[in-house]
Amino acid sequence: MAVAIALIFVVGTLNFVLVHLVPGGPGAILLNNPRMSPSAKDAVLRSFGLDKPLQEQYVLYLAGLVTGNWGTSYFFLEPAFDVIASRIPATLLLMVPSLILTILIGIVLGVLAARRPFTYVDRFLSAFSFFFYAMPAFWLGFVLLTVFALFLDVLPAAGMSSITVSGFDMIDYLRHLILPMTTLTLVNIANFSLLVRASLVEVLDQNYITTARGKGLPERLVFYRHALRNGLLPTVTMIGLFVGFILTGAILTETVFSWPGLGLLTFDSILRRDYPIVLGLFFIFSVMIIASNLVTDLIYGLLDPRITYD
Amino acid sequence: MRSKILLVSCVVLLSILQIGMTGIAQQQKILVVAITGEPEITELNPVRMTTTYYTAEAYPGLIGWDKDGVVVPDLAKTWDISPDGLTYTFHLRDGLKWSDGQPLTSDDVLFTIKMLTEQSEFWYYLWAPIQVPKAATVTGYAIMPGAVTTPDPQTVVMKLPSPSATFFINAAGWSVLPRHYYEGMNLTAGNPDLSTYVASGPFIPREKVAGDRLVYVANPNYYSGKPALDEVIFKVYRDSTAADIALESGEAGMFPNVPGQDVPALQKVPNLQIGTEQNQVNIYITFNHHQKLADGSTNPVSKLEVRKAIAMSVDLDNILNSSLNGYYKLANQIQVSNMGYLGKSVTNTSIPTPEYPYDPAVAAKLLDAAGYPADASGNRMSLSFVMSSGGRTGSTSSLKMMQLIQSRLQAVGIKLDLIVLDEASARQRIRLQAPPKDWNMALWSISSSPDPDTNAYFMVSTLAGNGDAGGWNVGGYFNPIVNDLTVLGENTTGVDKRVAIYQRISGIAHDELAVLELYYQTEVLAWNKMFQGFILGLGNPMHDYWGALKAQSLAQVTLVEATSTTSTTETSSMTPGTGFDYTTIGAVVVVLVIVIGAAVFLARRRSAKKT
Amino acid sequence: MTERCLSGAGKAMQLWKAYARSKSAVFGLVFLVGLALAAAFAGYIFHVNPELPDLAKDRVPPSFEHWFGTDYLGRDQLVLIVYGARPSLIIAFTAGALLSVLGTLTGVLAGYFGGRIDGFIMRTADVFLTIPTLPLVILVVALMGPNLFNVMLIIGLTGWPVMARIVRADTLSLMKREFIEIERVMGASIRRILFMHLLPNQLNSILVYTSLSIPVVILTEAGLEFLGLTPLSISWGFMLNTSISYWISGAWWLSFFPGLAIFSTALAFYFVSDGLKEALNPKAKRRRESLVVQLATRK
Repeated sequence: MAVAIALIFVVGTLNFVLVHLVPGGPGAILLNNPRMSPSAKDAVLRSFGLDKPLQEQYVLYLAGLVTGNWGTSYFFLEPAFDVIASRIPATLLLMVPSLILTILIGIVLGVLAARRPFTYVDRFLSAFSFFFYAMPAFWLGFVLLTVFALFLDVLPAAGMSSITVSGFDMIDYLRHLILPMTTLTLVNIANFSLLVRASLVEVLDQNYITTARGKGLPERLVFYRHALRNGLLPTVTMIGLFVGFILTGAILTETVFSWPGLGLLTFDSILRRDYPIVLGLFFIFSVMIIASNLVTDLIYGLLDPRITYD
Repeated sequence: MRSKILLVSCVVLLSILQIGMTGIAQQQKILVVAITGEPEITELNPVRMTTTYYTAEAYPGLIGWDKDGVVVPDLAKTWDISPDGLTYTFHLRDGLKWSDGQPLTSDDVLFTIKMLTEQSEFWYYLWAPIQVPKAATVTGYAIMPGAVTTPDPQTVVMKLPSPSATFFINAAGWSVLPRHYYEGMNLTAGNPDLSTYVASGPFIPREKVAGDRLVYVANPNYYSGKPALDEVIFKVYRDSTAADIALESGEAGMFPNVPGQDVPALQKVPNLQIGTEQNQVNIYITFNHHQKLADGSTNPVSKLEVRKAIAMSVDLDNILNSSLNGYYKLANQIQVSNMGYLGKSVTNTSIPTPEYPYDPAVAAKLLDAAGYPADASGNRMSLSFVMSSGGRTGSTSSLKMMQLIQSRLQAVGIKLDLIVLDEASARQRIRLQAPPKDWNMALWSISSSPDPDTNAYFMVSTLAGNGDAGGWNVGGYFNPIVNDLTVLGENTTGVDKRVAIYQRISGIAHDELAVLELYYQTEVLAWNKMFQGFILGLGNPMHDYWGALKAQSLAQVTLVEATSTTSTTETSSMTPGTGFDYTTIGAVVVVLVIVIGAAVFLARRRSAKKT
Repeated sequence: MTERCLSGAGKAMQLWKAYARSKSAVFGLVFLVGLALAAAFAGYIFHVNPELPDLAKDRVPPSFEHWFGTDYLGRDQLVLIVYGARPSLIIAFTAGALLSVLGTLTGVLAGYFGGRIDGFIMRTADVFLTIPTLPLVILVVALMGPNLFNVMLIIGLTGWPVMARIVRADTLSLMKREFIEIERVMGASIRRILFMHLLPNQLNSILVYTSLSIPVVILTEAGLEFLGLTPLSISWGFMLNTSISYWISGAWWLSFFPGLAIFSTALAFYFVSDGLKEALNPKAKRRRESLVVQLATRK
């Protein structure tokens, strides 16, 4: 746990350093109005706290990270925390269903393949995973968009919700969700199901499985009662890893589909040199990844009676 | 267990597609305008905004323009200008009201001038003739005492110390802001709250969803009457392709910036109408006029012969025709072709079109004479060229144009290094960098105000630091005669004299090839035929400075039919609100937690039993 | 550890036989070699300047004359794709090599020294693993300027942690072997142990995992080009970038072929890495597991 917290601070520091290495300093983007008088420039810098000595800025930054004061966005002129917080639901609405679908379908496929290794099912899974491991997500997204939004015109072309809808409409949201979620999950399903299959196969090699078979238990029982439960344990830790993958994938996917979440904000803010947001975003990403790793470790500990945490 | 999941997902999938298929009539008259750049929230903040693009619908000015660029009354129904040109009297219409019911009076005009003079670094120059320095304000300026008076609620009087040709358009064309709303607000540190925004124009900005849309609602108190539309929504799309798709599918009602190459595809769509108009954006290549660049290397383009050679090495018409699919007007001088002053055109007709003929042979000779002979492989020099990629996925017509120019220059031995940067970096490198800068040429543009002063001042003068870091004369072209003429132009009110001044400036700029003119922008707009009433004319109805035209245009748009295309959805069947339906989400989360917890619990129990 | 008492040529033949057992692996290798050769000798194969525009042939659909059609400047796309292989392959190899060298060195040092050094190196690796790579890469490229060198550098610099982990695990298990113990007792220098024992025994793994990480490098680099963060040049990702604007005019081949190229190359590398894994892995017992499994489960 302590490691996790230390990690977050290190990451935060790294980002801070990176951002301040930029020529002209992070505030350069604020001063691009040619008619600005020097006193006005100073005032602007002051209002963003950029006139303080570097060490002071660093301390304030770290303290701010924890308390939720991430400074004011240069672009939106709103507190960076608010801007990011307002986009988190959108990204979660994309990530969580994708993650769930990846896990469920991944497990199903992996189980199927492990059950009948080297048959067509297994080979199909291998081919499928190879195919999507190498697939550029933005190309796939674009192809899907072409087919479904342009040629067939059954799904919306961009965004998360239609104009005419106010509030939250489940059906509308789902319609917008299909394409980006498909793009995001296809790549990860392939990978994840292979992992599931592999760990199951490894379990099936174990002695106690041979024993069970030797005892005359039907294969089905052996598989589902013994192998599955133990084989699925490693996949729990892998889920933590996949949160990271899905987060990264979300950036490209959100760009292709104009999904108004954190990924799009990341890309736009970097290009706009909106550093408070960039720093806040990196912080959030790290927190998400670390948190998911912690959670999966905990769940793994709960599931595996052999492990105890002190 | 597996089959159950499969079954459920099939049902869900079917129901989604089925509901998506039924078209249901829109309840409200909403126009969705597709835009490809996210509006910053500061663009709705009068003090901080840098264009009038987004506030034009909200804040008309005293005067407006019609589609031919002729000044028409807006908030002011009549006005008088004294014969000596020093006193401007504006008479406001009767019964003007703000959207919250408060009356719009001359006091608001006075407040606007005062606030912007003292607080807005970007716009204070509009009233420069009636300003005096004052250190205590943000801008360093304040209104001259007694320069603006309000004898009665319907009258505003402005007194100038000396005649100014640009004052009328700048001062009267600008928005009028509500005193009772903005007074006391610190607009340099924060932005107005859109949910309480007060406006006088046909549409009030009501909601901004970051990265997605900007929503305007109709203003029942608009003096011309409540607009026919209930809402106008500017929806952000990643690029023009996404906007085209949205337009075709009916998700967007209007797209005011269609790239030329997309037009044939859109023309094939039966329910779309396409129109063009000549706006006042001037796109050109700017030369770096400093003799040495930032790294100390000599700058070949600082020589007139080299610039001429470059101009003669490109067959602009072909290049532009191919990149813009014919939607452009070949440019030959710094003033856009439809620019005039009080009805008289400022075009210098002695400048040929194209500026210089396409003659690579002569160009080669010029380069030889200038001291740049071709070496064994035909190369004479290397030049760097900076341009902006134009956003997230960029505008490839500019890229195509520059790549074609690059190949033409290669043919005469000039190797052009095309540096394509994202907008922020491009801005930094081209405009904000300190002279002498580190590039030879750059792609630049300017959007004109309805007065010829703009292009002269910003393109070729070095007045008020315009040639320094942050100035718009990014190449640093300096000619004291041009500077003097520009100042003279601002102070000359006689039509013929003034027009002659600008013609002369254009002539000098042409002779010295201060910039290489490319084209004047032809705007292509496409909209769904169920919307009628758009006014296409001199300016883009969505554009800077032509805000009044834009506002009038949107105010007059009507929705012809209320039935929709396939992609509309029914209005929310869940709690209609502005936030998410937390109950549903909460329920889902609870269910998930229970399921996971049960699974964990069961798994532990079973494996414990096993050992 | 099985000692192979064969001559060099014999070893190579055996390696090839093991490798060639997988059809896909051979196919991938052939594809890559062919692509690399074509890219290197493109000037001789195609007697045309790839960058020369020809407006008369603006966006011609695929035909017998132009197999992949022409792009928006009238340039033949087949030629462009072959030339576009250059940056992809170059970056794939250099970033891959950088990543591999960095990862191997840090992994081996961590495994050898253990203790504080190990802790430090692994914590640093954790930091890099916690920051999602794509935003970091975008940030660095945006800040430091778009040029291919920066891209190579940053992709290499962000890819080493995974490699380091694997090498460290392998090193640790090797360290337990007796012969290492003997060397240490005899006072052998670090360099000797490192270069004569630890590294050579891991060469197989290192090779395999390096080739596995290359598809990711290719996709990341294409992603950067697609987002417009690399300099103007003939490259697949950039072709994809510019193709989007012309897509609505019906020119589907502008985006299809570059995307196909990226996909095929990444896939080929993946096949090759899988084939290498099969061929080099002495434990014949292991069946067709994905390398990613081992990547993921080695903590």
